[in-house]
Amino acid sequence: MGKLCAVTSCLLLTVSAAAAQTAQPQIERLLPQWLTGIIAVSAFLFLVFVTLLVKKAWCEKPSRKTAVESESDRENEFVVTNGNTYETNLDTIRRKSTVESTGENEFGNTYETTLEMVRSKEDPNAFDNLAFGSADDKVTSM
Amino acid sequence: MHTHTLSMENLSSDKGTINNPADIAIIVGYFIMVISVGIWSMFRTNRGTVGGYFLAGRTMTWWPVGASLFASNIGSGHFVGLAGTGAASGIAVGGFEWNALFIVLLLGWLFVPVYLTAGVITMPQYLKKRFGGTRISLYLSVISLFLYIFTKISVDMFSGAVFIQQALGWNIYVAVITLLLITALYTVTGGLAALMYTDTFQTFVIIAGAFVLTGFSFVQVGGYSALLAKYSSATPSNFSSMDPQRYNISPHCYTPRQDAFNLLRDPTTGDLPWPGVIFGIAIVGGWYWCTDQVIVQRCLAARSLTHVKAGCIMCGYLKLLPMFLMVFPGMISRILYPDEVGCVVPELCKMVCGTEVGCSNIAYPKLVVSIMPNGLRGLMLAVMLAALMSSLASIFNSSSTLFTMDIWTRIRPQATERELIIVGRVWVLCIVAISICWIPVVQAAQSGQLFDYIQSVSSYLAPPIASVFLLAVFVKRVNEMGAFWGLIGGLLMGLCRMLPEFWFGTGSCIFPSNCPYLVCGVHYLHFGIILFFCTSVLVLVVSYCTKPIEDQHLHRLVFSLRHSKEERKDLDWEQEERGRRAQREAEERIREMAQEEAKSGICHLVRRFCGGGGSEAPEQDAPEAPEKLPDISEDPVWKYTVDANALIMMTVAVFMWGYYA
Repeated sequence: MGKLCAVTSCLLLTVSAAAAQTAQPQIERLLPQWLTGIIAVSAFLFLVFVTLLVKKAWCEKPSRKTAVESESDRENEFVVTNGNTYETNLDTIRRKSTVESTGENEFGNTYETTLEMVRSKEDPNAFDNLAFGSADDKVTSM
Repeated sequence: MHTHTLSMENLSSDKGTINNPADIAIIVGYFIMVISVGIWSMFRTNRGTVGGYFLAGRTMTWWPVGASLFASNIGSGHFVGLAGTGAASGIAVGGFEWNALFIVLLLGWLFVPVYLTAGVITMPQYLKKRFGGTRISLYLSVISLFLYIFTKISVDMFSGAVFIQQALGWNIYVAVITLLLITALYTVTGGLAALMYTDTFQTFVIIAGAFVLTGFSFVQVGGYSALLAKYSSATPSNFSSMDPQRYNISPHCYTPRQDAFNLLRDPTTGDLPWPGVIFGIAIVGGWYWCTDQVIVQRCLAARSLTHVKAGCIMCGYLKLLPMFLMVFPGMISRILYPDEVGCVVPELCKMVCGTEVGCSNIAYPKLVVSIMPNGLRGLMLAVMLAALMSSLASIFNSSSTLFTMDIWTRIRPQATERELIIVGRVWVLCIVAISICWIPVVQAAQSGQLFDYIQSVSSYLAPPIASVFLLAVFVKRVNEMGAFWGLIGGLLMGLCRMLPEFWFGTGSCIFPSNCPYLVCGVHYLHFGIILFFCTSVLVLVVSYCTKPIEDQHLHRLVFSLRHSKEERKDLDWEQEERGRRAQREAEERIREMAQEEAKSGICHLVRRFCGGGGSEAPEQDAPEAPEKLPDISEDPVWKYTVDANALIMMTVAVFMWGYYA
């Protein structure tokens, strides 16, 4: 038994020594070389794409924020000026609203307050009372 | 020594000497072309001013910039060193070249805009403006000159000498001195403009000749697949020790490496581990391409920032070639001549090439001597001369710029422009003399792997400089104390590794050096990475503990403020003011004297040849002080073109890295 072990171990040793002596081929590659090249290129282009997106998001956010801020500043100014003065003169209302409407058309959140809107159709000298215009009457059942 | 001369004579009687009319005609033709290009460019730019002599008047277009970057970089050291290391250990050494593709883009996009708006001529000048004080710029000038002499000049001359000895059998001193004198001639007279135009011509010669040799070597070995197949069995026939009591030769010393065709190798057992190849070479490359005077000076001579970027892209594409033109032929040389190039027994190696350590350095010259036909051998000699002369000329010019603008102006602040130009020229001659005296030292130290030697010395000394420059450009908080102590700390760390390694010697495979593991165990590329990070940490810590530099001193000196148009209060304005005043007084005195003296014929001729026009030049460039800021604005169309081109080049580079990884 001992001799058998010795012989097999000697055999194994010589085989491994012989294997070590022969010129080994190069390291086995898992993927063909052109494929690793393509994978590297795709990873690189993906990183470039992500960087461009990040750069766009980064550069646009502050510029968009500043644009919004400047518009809201202007809106606040008008709101402030509108809130602090009480229009009792119909002419001023008309004039201001036309100025507002020509200047701020793109917003669409200014309200036309000319008298033409509330002038009634039946009678040229009568004006509708907007408060009665709404149709949602609350009717309680008896 | 005796066997060495014997082998040299044998070689020269075989086929080495260039003594047939075809070869001689090509060499003579090459020299005539180079000198005529040099003379032509002398008349194109005004070399009488500092800007004209040292920066070619800032008129260069992209193609001389790109070609000059490539030719200044590729020296004879690359031919001999890349081919030799390729023969010995495979393609990983090409990683040094392919890493530069990305670093050269960093140069053009990040660093040069800052250098241009800063309005500096030399790199120590930039540090002086950025940090103030004089010790940092003095340190950088001295260490740059030191690195030039010990890594670039000596290696290029040694490689040229190896080539000349192997291919021609000439007396090395005669050959090198003649070469240096011809180089010095067109460097001294022409200035940077002559250099850049001759570099363009020499780039063509280098690439054409190297392509021819590569073609012949592939034909000889049987094609690319034959190279892949045969390299692993390129073992020498004599590998048993001649003196078994002294040493034994283990198989791994003469068998080609298993990972010879991999760029990225095992981090612990590889000879060029992949973290080192990717990051360590990037750091050393950052020093070489982005902070070193030789390379940056060429970019500063360009006409506009777009031309700089286009030149960098061109240089990047050209840097793809050395792997195929130098590394592969080196490996082919080992396949074709395993007993000479791959010799391992020390006594045999000494007979073949004069060094016991190994003969891989003769890989490229052996190919030139053995497989090139008549006429083409002369072309290859012209190629080697082109590489050698272009690199040496660039180094001479840049070192004279450094010496003149940084060291001489400190010694004599009242020096006029004419005096500075003369001093620049005299310094070139001095450095030629120093290089000639250095030849015997390099010969005696003949190390087996030349390229490794340059790279390891660079890895020990360059990372602190790269780190300080990177932080100076991008981090405003860094100040003079931080930068100075970072540089000194980095230098000490680098010396702690470099001096013991030189003391114990690098050793060879058969006689390993007994350098202790603590000092030499870490691979030099990994050590470079560690050194870079340690220096950066030191710089940042010291900077944050001391007071910052205010923004008013930093306009157009850092990347974030490169477009600012505000007035900058220079930190070194006192020095500059004193210098300018002294200069003006000296010029007044000279003008008074010049009006009196009579111009004799010979004096006038000499002055014209040397590009002086001493009395006219100061008037033209008198408002040097409030000069217009160099413009770094770019035309948007060209900006997008250049950016797209850079992206394409990076994609190609990534593909090549992936293919050979």
